Amino acid sequence: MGPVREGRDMRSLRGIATLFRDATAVVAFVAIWQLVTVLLAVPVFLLPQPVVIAQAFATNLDAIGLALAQTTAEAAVGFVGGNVLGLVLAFVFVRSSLISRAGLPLAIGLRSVPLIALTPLLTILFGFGVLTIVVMAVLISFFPALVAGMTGLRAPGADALALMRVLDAPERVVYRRLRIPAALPYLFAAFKISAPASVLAAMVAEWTAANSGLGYLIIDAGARYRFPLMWAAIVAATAVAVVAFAAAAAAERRTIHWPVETA
Amino acid sequence: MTLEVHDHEFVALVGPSGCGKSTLLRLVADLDTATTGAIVVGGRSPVDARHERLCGVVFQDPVLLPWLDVLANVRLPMEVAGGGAAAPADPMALIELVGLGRFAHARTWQLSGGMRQRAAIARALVLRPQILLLDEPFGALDEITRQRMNLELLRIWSERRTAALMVTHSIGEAVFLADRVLVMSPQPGRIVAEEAVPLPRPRAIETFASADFLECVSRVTRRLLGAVEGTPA
Repeated sequence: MGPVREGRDMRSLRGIATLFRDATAVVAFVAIWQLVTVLLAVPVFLLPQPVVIAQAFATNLDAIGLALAQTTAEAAVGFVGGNVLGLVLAFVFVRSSLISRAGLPLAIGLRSVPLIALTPLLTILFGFGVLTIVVMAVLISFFPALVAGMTGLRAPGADALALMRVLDAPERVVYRRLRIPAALPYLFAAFKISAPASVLAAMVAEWTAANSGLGYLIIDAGARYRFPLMWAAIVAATAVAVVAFAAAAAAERRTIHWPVETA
Repeated sequence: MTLEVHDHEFVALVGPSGCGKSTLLRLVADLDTATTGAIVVGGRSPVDARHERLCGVVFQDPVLLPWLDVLANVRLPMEVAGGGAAAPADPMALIELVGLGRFAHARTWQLSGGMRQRAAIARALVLRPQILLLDEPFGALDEITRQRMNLELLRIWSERRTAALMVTHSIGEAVFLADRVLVMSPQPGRIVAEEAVPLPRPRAIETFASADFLECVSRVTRRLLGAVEGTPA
């Protein structure tokens, strides 16, 4: 196990180096922002100083925290729901070409409708509030899962399937031992897309279908000319999206320990 | 055409590309279905033989699953067969036999092409098949690795003593390994010649230099050239 351990240590060392580099970039960016806004006396409604945004963040910690928790929870539920739905559909579509031929155009059609255009309709269907927001996050998560699931489950080549046939493996075993592991890299690619996207979708829904959450907070603060608070909420929303992506990427690194051929 | 492989016998099929030698192997393994004719594997139809897992197959591509280590790949047939496997071989002993003892827990994608094919051979043997079907197993390997793998294959086969049917387009390889070499012709694919290989066993690297070996190679070569006569190369 010697070489493997060493490899892991090296990787964590490199991870720390990367983190340091990224942190330096962010600090430099904020410093330049601060400098420019002060030197050019940029009005607060155009672009507040980072220091002012930080103050707004501190004074409104409770409001932002509450909104953040709500949006995160809605996005998370939608993410899970959308992926479950997408993966179940992927299984069904891969197993039955008839259902797939009928269902796939429908799924693509649904996905092609601009989500913002869908919000008023969803509000009528699911009411003003949490359910509509979750449904939005479901809709945005389900399509990547469906496409990645179908591609991944179909990824094993003719030789691998022939091997399973020689072994007289029942369909269930072919899925468990071959198709599902082969699909995992594709699924994680989908998760990395839909995890931050579900946060975005929840916030878009909150613009019109809620009176709470980060999306609502941004719109509301803007309408009340509380620009530093609006920016603080934007920073918080960005942070949630970044963390969502990073969590998906970390889960991927932990799970996919083999090189993935991109043939 | 008629072809018979006896217990403990090593038969090689040579022929030009497209003569159907791989198809023949796939028919035996029940990966394809014949429209006419009869195939009997261990006294059973290919379908029944597959259900009883009487064939071990090695493809040109080793098709190891990259998310499993070498041992887990070799154990895969046992996992798939579950309780249905009658007395499987000891997978660790097989890994030792194919010379991968130190690599049982290695990642398959870190192995060389020859080592991957060794793992594939171990996997094909783990359910103690009656016949080992080899479809150009070393076709993707370089010449030197290929020679070494042929020697290894003979050693493994003589330890296990299953019947073996191997498809190759290397005449030297066929003669070196087999008890009998069958020559196939293209369009229509049929067996046009059969050459017994009277070389004594165990065969070793010296066999390649023996007069009998060279004589046998030239006989098979003549048969093969006769078979493809009249078809454009």
